[in-house]
Amino acid sequence: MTDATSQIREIARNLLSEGRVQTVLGYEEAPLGLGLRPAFVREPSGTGRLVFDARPTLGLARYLPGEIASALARAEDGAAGSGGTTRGATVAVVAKGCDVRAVLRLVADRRIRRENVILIGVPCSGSIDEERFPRLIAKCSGCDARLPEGCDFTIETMAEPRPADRHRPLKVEDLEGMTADERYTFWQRQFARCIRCFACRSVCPACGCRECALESRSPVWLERDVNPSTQSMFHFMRLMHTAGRCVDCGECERVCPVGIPLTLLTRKLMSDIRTLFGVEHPETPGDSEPLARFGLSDPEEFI
Amino acid sequence: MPWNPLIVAFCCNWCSYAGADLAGTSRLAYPATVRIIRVPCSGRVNPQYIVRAFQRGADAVLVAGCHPGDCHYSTGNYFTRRRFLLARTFLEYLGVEPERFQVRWISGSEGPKFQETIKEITQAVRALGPNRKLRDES
Repeated sequence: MTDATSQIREIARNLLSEGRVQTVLGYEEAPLGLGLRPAFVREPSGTGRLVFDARPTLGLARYLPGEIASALARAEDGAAGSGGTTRGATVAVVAKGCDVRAVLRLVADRRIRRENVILIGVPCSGSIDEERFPRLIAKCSGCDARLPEGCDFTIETMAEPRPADRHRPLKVEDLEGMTADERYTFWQRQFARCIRCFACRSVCPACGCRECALESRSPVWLERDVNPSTQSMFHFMRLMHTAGRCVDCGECERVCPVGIPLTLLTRKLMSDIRTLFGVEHPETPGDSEPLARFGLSDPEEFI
Repeated sequence: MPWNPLIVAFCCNWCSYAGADLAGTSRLAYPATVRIIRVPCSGRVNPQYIVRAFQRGADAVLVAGCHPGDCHYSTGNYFTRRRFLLARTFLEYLGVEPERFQVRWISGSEGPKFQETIKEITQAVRALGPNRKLRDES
């Protein structure tokens, strides 16, 4: 039993030297002590760079479609040159529970194939932002931090004592308890900070359209001028487009540079899907999405 | 000039639009507060249309389609039901009064129901007053 870093290094070294994968996607130390950054390791000799700990990391799922495509292309070139061929999995990825769900989302959306990925699951008791204060980062509040399921490898770690949850001033229920006007004021204040950097969209595993409606110029759904109305349209669209396909990874909130509490929106949709449509685990990607099917006895008191 | 509500109604071609037509040919009077947009099916209505209507000054939005089981395309309105149940709770969560967004099943033979629906929504919106939420003032 060794720590997560050495186990990940060993698995990565074996996978690369046996030629089972083209790339291991993991994390390495960023320069200047800036935490962990994504690492693309393609040689066994490079596996010593890999690191993993409780510092917040970027979920790596969104790198997979591109990385797998180029790995497959490389494998094909190699096969043409040497007569050897690389089959099956082409990219291994280090994934926490939320990241595993994100990868399965891409698989369910047919953006990648499960057999092209080797999942190295890391049990996680929440990311901690030592920089600011030794507490869980917001997106990890309320996560039951379970062992990732359905992985090809699972890292064994000592059960870490779970750090204190970050104090979140508000939960979905608190907002539900407000009046319509209070809620409106609250959300307008949040959306007013939005700089439309689209990071929430770029990091989201459920956002996969080749042409994004947010950037459509015919028709124009999202006006270029920034005002309370267009800001609301932006967030409404993004959330309705990912509703029922969101895996509750919380990356949108983590990357938001202005700290909009986006999981208060994603989790609201998720709890409504759970109660209204009887979907037990809307965060787990399945073959059929809640909004892509229907029940003959769906509630219609509102109609 | 007294203030009159503005209702944008997305009516399915096969049922509710015919229902509205029947209300007209039957000479059923209802408030002139509604602007009807004909859609091929209530399932064609994108949630963005609702916000866009509010942006452009609607005080209420109605999505009207065939009764469950009567959809011209068999199942379109079942998707509508699920989608707008969620969109409705979500709009409410963003702070829009739920009365301002309505979904109704109105068949081609229900002229009186169309009349009643418009009366009812007009009354509810009159009580709420003009909508400023989500409106594009620029």
